[in-house]
Amino acid sequence: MTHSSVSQKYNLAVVSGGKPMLPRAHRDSTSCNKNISILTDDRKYFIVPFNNQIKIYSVETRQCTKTLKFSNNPLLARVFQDNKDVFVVNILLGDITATSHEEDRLITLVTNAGHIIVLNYKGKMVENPKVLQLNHSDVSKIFFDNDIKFLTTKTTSNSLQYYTFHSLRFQEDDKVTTTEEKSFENVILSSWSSNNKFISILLKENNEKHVIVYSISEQTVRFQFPLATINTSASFSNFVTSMAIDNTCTQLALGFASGVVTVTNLIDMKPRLLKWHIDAVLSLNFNADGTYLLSGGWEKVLSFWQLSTNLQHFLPRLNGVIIDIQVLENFYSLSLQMMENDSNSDYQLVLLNSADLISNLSIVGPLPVFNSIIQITNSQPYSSINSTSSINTSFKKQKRKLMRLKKKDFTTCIEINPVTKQLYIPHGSNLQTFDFYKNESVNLQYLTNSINTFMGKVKSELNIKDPKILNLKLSKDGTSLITYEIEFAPADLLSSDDIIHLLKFWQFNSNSDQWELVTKVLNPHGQNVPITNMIVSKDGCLTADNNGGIKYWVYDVKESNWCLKKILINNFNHFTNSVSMASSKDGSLLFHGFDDKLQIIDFETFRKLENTNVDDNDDDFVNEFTFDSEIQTIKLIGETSLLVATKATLNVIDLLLGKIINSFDIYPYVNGIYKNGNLERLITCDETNGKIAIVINKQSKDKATSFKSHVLVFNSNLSKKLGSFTHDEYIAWIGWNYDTDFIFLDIESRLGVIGTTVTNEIMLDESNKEGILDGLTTENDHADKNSYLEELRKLSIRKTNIMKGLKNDNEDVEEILDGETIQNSIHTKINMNSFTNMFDNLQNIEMETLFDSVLKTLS
Amino acid sequence: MPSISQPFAITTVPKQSSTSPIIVSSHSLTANSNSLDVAISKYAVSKFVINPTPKLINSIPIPSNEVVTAFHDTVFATATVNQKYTLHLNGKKVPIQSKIMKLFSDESQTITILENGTIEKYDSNLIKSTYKTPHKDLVNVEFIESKYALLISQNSISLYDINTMIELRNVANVQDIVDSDFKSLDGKLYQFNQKLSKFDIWEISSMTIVNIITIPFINDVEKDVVSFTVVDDNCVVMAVNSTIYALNLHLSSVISMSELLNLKWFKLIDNLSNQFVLGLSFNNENYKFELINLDLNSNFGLKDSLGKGFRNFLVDKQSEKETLVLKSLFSADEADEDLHNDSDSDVEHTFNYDKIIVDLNKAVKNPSKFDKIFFEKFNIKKEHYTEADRFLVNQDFLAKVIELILQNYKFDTDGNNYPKTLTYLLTHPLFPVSLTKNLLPKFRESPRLYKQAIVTCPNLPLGELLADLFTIENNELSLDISLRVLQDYTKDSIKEQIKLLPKVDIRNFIEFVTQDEDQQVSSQLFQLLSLIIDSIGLFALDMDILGRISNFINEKTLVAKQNSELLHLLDYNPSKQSSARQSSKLINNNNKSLHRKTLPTYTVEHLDL
Repeated sequence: MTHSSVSQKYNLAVVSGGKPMLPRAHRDSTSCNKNISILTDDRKYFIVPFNNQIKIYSVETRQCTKTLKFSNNPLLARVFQDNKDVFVVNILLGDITATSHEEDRLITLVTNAGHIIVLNYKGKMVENPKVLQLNHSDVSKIFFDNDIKFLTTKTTSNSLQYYTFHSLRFQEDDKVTTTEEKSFENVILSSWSSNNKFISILLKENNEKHVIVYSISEQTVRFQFPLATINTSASFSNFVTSMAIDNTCTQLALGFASGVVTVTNLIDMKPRLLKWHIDAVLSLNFNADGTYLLSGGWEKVLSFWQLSTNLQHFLPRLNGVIIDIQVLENFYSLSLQMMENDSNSDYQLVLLNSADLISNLSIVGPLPVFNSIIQITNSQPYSSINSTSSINTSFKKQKRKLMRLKKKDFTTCIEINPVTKQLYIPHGSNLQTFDFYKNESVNLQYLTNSINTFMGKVKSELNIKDPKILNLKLSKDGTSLITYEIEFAPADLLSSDDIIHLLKFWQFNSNSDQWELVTKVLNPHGQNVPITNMIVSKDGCLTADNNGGIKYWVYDVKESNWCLKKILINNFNHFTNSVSMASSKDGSLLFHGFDDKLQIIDFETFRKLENTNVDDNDDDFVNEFTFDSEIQTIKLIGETSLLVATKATLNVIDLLLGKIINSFDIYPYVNGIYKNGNLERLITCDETNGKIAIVINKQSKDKATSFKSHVLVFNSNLSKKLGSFTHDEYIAWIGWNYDTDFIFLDIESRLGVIGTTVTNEIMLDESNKEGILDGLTTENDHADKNSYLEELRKLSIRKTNIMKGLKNDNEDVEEILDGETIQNSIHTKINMNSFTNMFDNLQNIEMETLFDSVLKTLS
Repeated sequence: MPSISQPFAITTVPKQSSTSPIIVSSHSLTANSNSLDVAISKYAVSKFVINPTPKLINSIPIPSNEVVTAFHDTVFATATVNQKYTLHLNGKKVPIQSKIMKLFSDESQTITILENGTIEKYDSNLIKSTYKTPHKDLVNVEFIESKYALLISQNSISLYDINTMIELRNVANVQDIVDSDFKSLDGKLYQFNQKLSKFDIWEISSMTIVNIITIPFINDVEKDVVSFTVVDDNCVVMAVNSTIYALNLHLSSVISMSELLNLKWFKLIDNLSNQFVLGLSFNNENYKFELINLDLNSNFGLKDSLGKGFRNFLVDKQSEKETLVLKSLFSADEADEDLHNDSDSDVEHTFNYDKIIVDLNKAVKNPSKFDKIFFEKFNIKKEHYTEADRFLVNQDFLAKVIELILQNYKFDTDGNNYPKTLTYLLTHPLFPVSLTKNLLPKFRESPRLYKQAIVTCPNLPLGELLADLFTIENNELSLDISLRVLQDYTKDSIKEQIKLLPKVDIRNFIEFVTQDEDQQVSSQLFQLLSLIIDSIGLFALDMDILGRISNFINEKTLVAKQNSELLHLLDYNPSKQSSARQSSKLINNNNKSLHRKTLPTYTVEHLDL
């Protein structure tokens, strides 16, 4: 085959994805200021920390202009990747360690472990950034005014925190001196003003809650009073969920779990009540001049209170629960938590222009929903029905379960669009489209009918379970989407256990950039029968249930609807979730794994393949295989090899020989870890080149939450290992990008690629090049038998033109796109590889630089 | 399933022309044509009708010293031993200076390509144009849709546009042309070299090799009579001596195969797409021009190639000797210690099967020694299969051991005189399918093994299971068998199999199930009963049996009705101030005190429309 002339070597790189970091959003944190993203002084760039990189967004173009990837710099890799507990807690503009602050290209990162790192956010990243080390851990924030102060927060035994303010001085020889200034014990909640001058602290003293307002630069306590003095009415809960202080230290706002907000004028100590929220107020902040109060909570509505008139304005329909509001000069930066996902905390950062409230930036990483809850630190905002809320109890239950479980299944379901190569990530009741190559979320669309679609859920509404997308597939042409979702019945009813299964078929509307529903099938396999597996075949979609039934759906042009075309009645007498399917390349056969049996189904008759040839010896005929344990996944590799992964072994059947030709032991890594059928998410195959990639996740022996993973790449019959890679985190999903690469996602939402560096040996042999490429193109054209005649006709015309051209003094030779003539022409050769180098790190290049490089290549 | 018919003769061919060519005009090989134009060297150019029986309708004799070199429609070219070349054009004889390799003729013109590389065009009877190509000593020529031609010389292949006489492609230094046979179809050129038993498939438009396939089942590359013809894209019919193969070259599989026992050899000449092939047969006495019907599916998919790879047709099946080993995913140097949680990784997992079978053979008379060898060699700890034994994957070996035991031991009621290995093997999920046949009858006298086989042995033949189920009168065993049947087989296959069983057995079974009214009939047996009724149909049963079934089912429905009513009563019991759901929970665990919730303010009722 011609493919052999291209030699391939696989590499692993973690290049994309990641989550926006909200270092103070986790449960133990007592700070109301969660979001640490900053705006540059010229208001052109918004700098956002991710867990694997720092991203710089241009506010004007609304695009990410630069990424500072931790893995690309040895120093950052050492700080952030070698120790996973280190994260950025503060970003400051300029180099705070220098005496003069003129250079505007620099930013300073502060980590919780006390690193102070100075980086440039424009231009090429410096090889060796300046790093200083504070002799304090638990650093939380640096206040940068005339003097530099920093705050450390330590969690004490009663889950309250111990705050200490330190002053900080940088010396000439890059040494730092720190002196302790003031400390507060038993802090429940704190919030600093937008100008970083004041901090309000709620703390417990002698079993009473007190509010302290502290001026950081003056090191004085401005106000101190018990909470009861401003919270006059006893009917309100004493539970303060958020707090804010304005820039001039005259107004203090407290948000309570009941939904009430009190604004206290600190001079006359008169509180006033602002009532609108119906569940816990999760975020509060004053605008720059203190005329407006901004508040947000479970309603997914940002509320503006004009303090002079008591008028209220709203910005509704945000994507998530508002957990933090920061005022950055003319912009509001909101942190939204998407509550659809209870396995992981997903945050979206939104940058709003304060003048017109139009969203300038919306920043989100990939939003995978994992099979079980990822982090112990996974945080859910507080709701007033906290104690009885089923999501909270179920969360606690799950958390306990997570601790108990020795082996963990964190797999997730993602699909890649074969045409656009975008990742489709089901996220509860909505679907995220994420572009791996641009490293941006492209679209977030609700695919189900749920309250979440329109508004936030509050109080007892939190008990309503939203529909969930469990599986999705994309048609081979990338224009149709098939989703499988389940709808839950209301709780506490006889019918509560009735789950409605839905199969939906969508068509992409390129005008609106949205998926439009074409067909919706209620309970496609009957009442209460789940769809255990879905695959797309040549032009339709196959769904399988847990009893051996298979249905084949095709878009019918006449009906302009998706219709059921073929059906295999559920045939087995028992049920299993270990169901898998694969369809042969030519579509003539369907392979159906059910429990430990693999059946071969004739697609035409849609029944188990039968031996109709009477002369054939019965023994040689194979239509069924029995395996040692339940089949987890089957994949067809190339045309004739079938990969079968059971709970104990990974096998390859050569279909032409009718027997297993290679077999691997995966029992220690798989058994009891993955839910039935979920192993499928960790095995993928490159259908064009016949390569297999399999992920093996391993738990570290001494630490239950520490993982490591291996990715192994094999050739089509598993006889040769093409690559073996390790990754420092649990991989939740791997997929083939319909090209030559495999893309994976780990449980920190980071995306990586296992790709090939194509060394084109063909390029050396220019004279032969034309022919080989021709061969490649025509090879894919199996469909049309007469296409070769068309090829020949074109060839003939081309050659005739050349002959004519040669006669006419070589006039138009150069216009003819023919390999041989171009080769002979004196002009620089531009071929498909001329620009390859530029695309290697496209994300980090600014427009001008890109343009320069293009010109350079052309000249 | 694809098949190849036996040949039927169109005409006999005189003996002397055995080695000289027979050419079938391609213009008659079209889909609905009923006639066939054949030029037989030194004999005649004949026209036959094929249906209903081959019949000669027209014939032009050829002198016995003239060999046909090219033939199309009514035009043919001949050559004599003393290098006299003639073109027979519409009854006229035109002398030519070189041998005509191929010709093409239609109403407007005739195109001939000569051995010396000259392309000539004739307008009715007159020569219109001559074009000399640089290629000399052509060995083969292929026309492509009458517009292009492939000129194959000693070591190069060129593609010409016949209208413009422009060379479109030229590949020089092609290997092994001289010994090769060429055929083209659908934009591909198939080059077969008998000495190397190898197909090179060229993409004509680019003149590149897209596939190379070696045919492994030609025994004697020198002496075997091998010929082929291309019937479809990547589908080739090949004759090796008297065996006809239909090959899928894309997948390297034998779609169909037929042996023509009464012939010595069959030489393929041409074909009509994938409907029939034409060829010359020889049965040690006569030469016959014959036709073989093909029944091949129009799409040569994977379906027709399952289990039919070339390697399965090898004369000496070397592949059988390869033993399957369960390999470790990580090589020794890759396995990092701190994460490796495989406790038994230090145990050796590769076994010397050959040696073990020899040892077992020696110890076969002594069950305990036999067991000792078996269990120790494979490090088996328990008497039944566990995942720790997953490294024992060689089914051929398992088959050998089982055969060894079955041959050497008799299983009767009292005897425990057989190796424990057998009971172990019966629990192994990879118990070879081939040995499950007739296994149950062998164990019938030994209840222990019989039950073991039924409970754990995979892939027991359904027919035997059902036959036993319908004859057995033991409640416990019938339950086991029914479980096994339902677990292992689909409803369809059970129904199929029931149809094959004798009526009496079915009758007995129904009687058995319905006999005892007090006895609890398990749900499995009930399920089976419904399958039986489905498969044989209610009306095939006698009146009294029907009556019994009807009574039996009525009783069951009565019980079901009562139960459901009772449940309703409990559900809507007004004395309990709890939601319906809670009360139903209470039934299940009435010992536990549940904190009660008040009825929700609204309920959802499903309406059946």
